[in-house]
Amino acid sequence: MSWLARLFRPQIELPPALAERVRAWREQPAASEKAELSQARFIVVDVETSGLDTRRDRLLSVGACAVEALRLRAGENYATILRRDETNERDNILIHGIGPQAQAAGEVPEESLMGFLEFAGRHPLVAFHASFDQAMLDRALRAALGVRLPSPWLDLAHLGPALFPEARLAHAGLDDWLDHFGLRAHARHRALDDAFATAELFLILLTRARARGLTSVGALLAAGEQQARLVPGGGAGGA
Amino acid sequence: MELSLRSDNSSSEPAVARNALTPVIEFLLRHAPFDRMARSHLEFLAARLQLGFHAKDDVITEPARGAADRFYIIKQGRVRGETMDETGPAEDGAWELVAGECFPIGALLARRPVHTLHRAVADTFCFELGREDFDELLALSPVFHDFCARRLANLLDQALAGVQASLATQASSGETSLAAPLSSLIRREPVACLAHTPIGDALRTMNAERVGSIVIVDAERKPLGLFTLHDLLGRVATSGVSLELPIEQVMTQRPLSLPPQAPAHEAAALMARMGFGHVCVVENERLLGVVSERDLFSLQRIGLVQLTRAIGGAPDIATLARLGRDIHRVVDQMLVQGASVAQLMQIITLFNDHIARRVIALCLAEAGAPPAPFTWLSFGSEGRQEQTLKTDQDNGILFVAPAGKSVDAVRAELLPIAQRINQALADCGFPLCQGNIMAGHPACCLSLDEWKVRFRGWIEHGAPEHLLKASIFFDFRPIYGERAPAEALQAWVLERVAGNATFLRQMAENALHNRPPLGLVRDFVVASGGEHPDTIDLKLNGAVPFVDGARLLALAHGIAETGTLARLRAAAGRGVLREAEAGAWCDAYSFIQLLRMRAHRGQLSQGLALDNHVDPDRLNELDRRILKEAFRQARKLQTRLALDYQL
Repeated sequence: MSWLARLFRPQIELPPALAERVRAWREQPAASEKAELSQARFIVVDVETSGLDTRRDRLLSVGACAVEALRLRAGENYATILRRDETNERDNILIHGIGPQAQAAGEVPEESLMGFLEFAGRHPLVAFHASFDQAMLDRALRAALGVRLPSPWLDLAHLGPALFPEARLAHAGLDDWLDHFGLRAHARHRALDDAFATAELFLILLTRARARGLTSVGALLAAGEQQARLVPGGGAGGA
Repeated sequence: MELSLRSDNSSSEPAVARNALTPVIEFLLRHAPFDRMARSHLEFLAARLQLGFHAKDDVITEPARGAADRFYIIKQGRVRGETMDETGPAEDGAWELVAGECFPIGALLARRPVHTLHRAVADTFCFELGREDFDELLALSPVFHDFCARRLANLLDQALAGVQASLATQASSGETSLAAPLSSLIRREPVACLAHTPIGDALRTMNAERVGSIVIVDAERKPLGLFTLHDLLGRVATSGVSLELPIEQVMTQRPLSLPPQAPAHEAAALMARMGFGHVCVVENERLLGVVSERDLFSLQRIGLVQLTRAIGGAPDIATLARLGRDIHRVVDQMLVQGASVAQLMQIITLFNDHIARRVIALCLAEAGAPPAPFTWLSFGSEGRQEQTLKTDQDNGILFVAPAGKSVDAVRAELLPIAQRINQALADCGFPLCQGNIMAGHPACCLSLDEWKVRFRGWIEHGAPEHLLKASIFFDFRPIYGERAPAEALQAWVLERVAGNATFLRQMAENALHNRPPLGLVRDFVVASGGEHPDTIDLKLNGAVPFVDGARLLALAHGIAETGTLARLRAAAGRGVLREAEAGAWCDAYSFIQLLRMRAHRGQLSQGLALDNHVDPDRLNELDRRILKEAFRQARKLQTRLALDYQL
């Protein structure tokens, strides 16, 4: 981190125990982009928010699961609801289903997000419409813990069309891709279930990527970024 | 719909559930056997599952990948299992698996490579469980364990069906038998005479030999002609030909002949074409035998009833010996027709019982009334009604001394009769027992009290030789004479043994001696030297563990059955064993016995002495696979005994 960034980093006083956990998380080595796809670990993420405005809406819940060595690990996942004391009228409760009581019963955001960081480590992150998840998480993490996620993000909204051009889903949403491959989310719009569904899509894309000769994490990221430049925007907004 | 249904309280659960296994568990709960598993075991399983994706046409497992190390549950999609033969995928050996189904089970249980190639037929997601977790789940969940054990049982069923199918193509019966070489159909030395033999003499020979045809040969035994009972009617009886005339005047000249290698169907075609019922089997112009139409088609007609009656009415030992050989043909025929091993062993035992009874009756008729009433007992495999074709004599006499006569005096009079019977049985094809377990031996010709004393000694001392004897003698069954004394003896043994924990423990130790020959590196552990190198002793290492285990279970739980299968089933009936367990062991035991019988059959047809050794490398793939599973079952039974008796 450059001295400039350090200078402008919001100063947050964390309780010692939490500060220690953040330090431990930071000291983990970052995952290499040279890592083989057949071995690499990815964290597939989905967030639920109070709306689509990444500057003003709030992060309500995070769901994440792990894909390692081309397998989704059923037992390794993380789901959290961030505690909030008052609900806003703009809340899209009908979509994410996290009502005021549940929000009040959630975890304090510091704890909630620290748990996510520890689960995610420094592995590459995967999401559908990743820029949305990234923005929401980054803002919440900065506010609660004073950290940014340094990991690269892989956006399946880009990677999908790059690897399956024949699907003609260049501007499609997650539901379209799930339909295309006959995948069924256990319950859509619950962060962890969406993360699971996204991970299944990711497994299909990984198989195709390898069949196309992409073998490293870096090559996969590059394929996604190339598609992003090709089709700016990638698709409709996040859901 | 989830939008409106989902209200405040329903969403409180993910706040605490960090490891949300619910979707996986809900999937599992829709499929057997997971729907019956305990929640904690499901959670154990779900937490360890990994989901993998297999694009259409991808191979998921295949034999070349070494010992199976993953258990797959199909989440979505379809998978085809393709069995392989030497030439590649076998068309008819393919089947499809769908969501909720699992594979491979046998390979994982046996720690061997899969024999089936599994291929995704559509884009497929499978949950995977590593082998160690699979093993742990087996140990943890009885439901899962039963499911896998039952799968194995089904596999054994398939294998048994396969063995019978393969026998049907080899065996000498029905349509399929017609591929057999004629040499295998020759039942006896041909009956022949020279050309100048008077018709009357030829007829007398035919009558004495009980044959329907006689071959007329020259001095070099080259066939010149044939004369049959059918010819007798037309050419002799109704035409007033003198019986003093030489046979060559009424014989059929240039009889049909074929070499011994010719398949039976060639003989059948020849007979049909020429309208003639007999074919001479000739090698280098020399007569080897005669095959009649009846030999080709009559196997189906050797009835059990007919054979039974023939044995019961046999006038002498020689006739019985001949009928004894017919038993082999009946067994062959039944094997081909798909009789179960249990049925076959019972049939063999039944006929052997008939023969033994007839032998005893004939010997008694010759020797006069015995000095005391006695019961003839069968021990060992005959006692268990599990005889295969290779059967030594194991028998004894239980007698009741009449008032005023000493036990020793009775024995002295009975022994010569018993020895005659033993010898006559040997003449009928039941070799004398090397270990002298025969009624003609003084130690096996005892009164009820003497038997009790002898048995008590073994039960109380339990030395290795006592245990060995107990394993033969305690499987006894009355064959001839009063049943009541034998039943009294059996009840006494059961009572004595069930109350003797030390003896039971010693028997358990003994039962663990013969370990199934499963190797860690190679599939099987074979004998490295000795008389039968590179072979497995199917009896000692395969059947005996089941027989010993079943006997121990029976004796320990007061089960009066003497048959191994009956004992295992009775143990399950009393809740001593689980049904699935007993079923798998019965299947495994039956399969091993079937292999033994098939080996005997092969040895008989090649004129070899019967033994119980097989070379695993010479078994076909399916048999090898099942034999290994069967040995694994034997090992499980032994593990169970070791647990029961803390060995």
